[in-house]
Amino acid sequence: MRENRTIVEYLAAVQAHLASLGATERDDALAELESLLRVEAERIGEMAAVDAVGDPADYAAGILEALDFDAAADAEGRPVPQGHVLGMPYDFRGASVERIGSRVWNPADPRILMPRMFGVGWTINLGAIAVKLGLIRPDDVGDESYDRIPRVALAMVLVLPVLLVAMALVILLIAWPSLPAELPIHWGVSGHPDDWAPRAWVVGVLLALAILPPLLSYPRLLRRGTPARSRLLAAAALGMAATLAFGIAVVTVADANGGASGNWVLLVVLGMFAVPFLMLYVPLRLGLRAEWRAAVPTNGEGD
Amino acid sequence: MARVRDERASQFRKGALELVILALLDRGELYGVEIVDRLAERPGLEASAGTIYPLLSRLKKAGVVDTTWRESPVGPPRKYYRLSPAGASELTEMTRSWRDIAAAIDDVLTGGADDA
Repeated sequence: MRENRTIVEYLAAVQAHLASLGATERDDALAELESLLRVEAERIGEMAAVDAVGDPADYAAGILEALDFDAAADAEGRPVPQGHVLGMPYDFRGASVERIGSRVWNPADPRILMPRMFGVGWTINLGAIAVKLGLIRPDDVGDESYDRIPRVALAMVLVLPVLLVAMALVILLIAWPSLPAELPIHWGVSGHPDDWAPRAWVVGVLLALAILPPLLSYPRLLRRGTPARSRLLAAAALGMAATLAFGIAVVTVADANGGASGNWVLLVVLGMFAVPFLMLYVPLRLGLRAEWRAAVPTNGEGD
Repeated sequence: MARVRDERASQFRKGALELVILALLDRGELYGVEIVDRLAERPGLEASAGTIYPLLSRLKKAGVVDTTWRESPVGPPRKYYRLSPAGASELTEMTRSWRDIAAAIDDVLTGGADDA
């Protein structure tokens, strides 16, 4: 075991065993190991510190196992945040369909507040809300329910975010001449704007934020063979972003024309949850009904 | 002190819950609410729906249980769970490990291990 490696050599050896990891996770793990080794080296010397950590292959295997554990817990529907900051969970890995599924729509888990998919804070488990409202039972929706969603319903859900973004675009284009040179970019708790920016900047950023997510996601979503579950969950996430963009467009235009109030803002926030909720619940309800009809031919829905 | 004891008991229970559910399903298929109720009948094994449903979903994904929709006299069809062939051998394995561990712990608790 005693090979008298330097910290740099040891890190390179561990890195070689982590080839299967994503670059971010690998760099994080190595950075953590390096700082640990440097602290130990101060105390007991570089060679002894490296020696104390043991075989690089074993250390790498330990890292892989720890990350796998998180992935497995994630897949079985118990969302685990990467850690906590100021008492709030955080997660800076990209939003995968599995993560959307386990957090935004997870009827089996009764928690309404889930660790957020990306960033700091919580997200709302719409599946738990559907169960609390008595709309579905915790184990009603399975993989088959997604596969039995009528094609038309799935197509409509996929079109809705695009439609909302297109409507936001049209509203902003039509209202452009009537917009003042400076537009509000931040609203206080009372619903009144408290910060402004030039209109070209505001509208440009708003449109970029509205158009980019669908533009990046749809090529993958529409590819042949993408499972219905991935399509529905991703569409609902895009629907939430599109509702926000549409809402901000409407509030901005209404505000410029003297019609916006605190209620508009509240309505946008409500819509951000109501729209994805309906985008998930309605197709899944139809899929579930088809599943029941196939399994219990004598009785349709029964309620 | 009581709280520490409760937490300890809950750790034990979590590990045993999967085994208990598989054993219940070995005697016949059950739907979700029935599983929750059967466990609630046994003091020490009660678990909330919020614990049981994610566990059932995991067992289904792992192929240990299968599900079937069956008509219900009241309301919409119910999802019934039953052991899959893989689940039956899993149950045998888990039962054996459980007995081994229980016997070993018992041995230590009664002081028998000191003689070994």
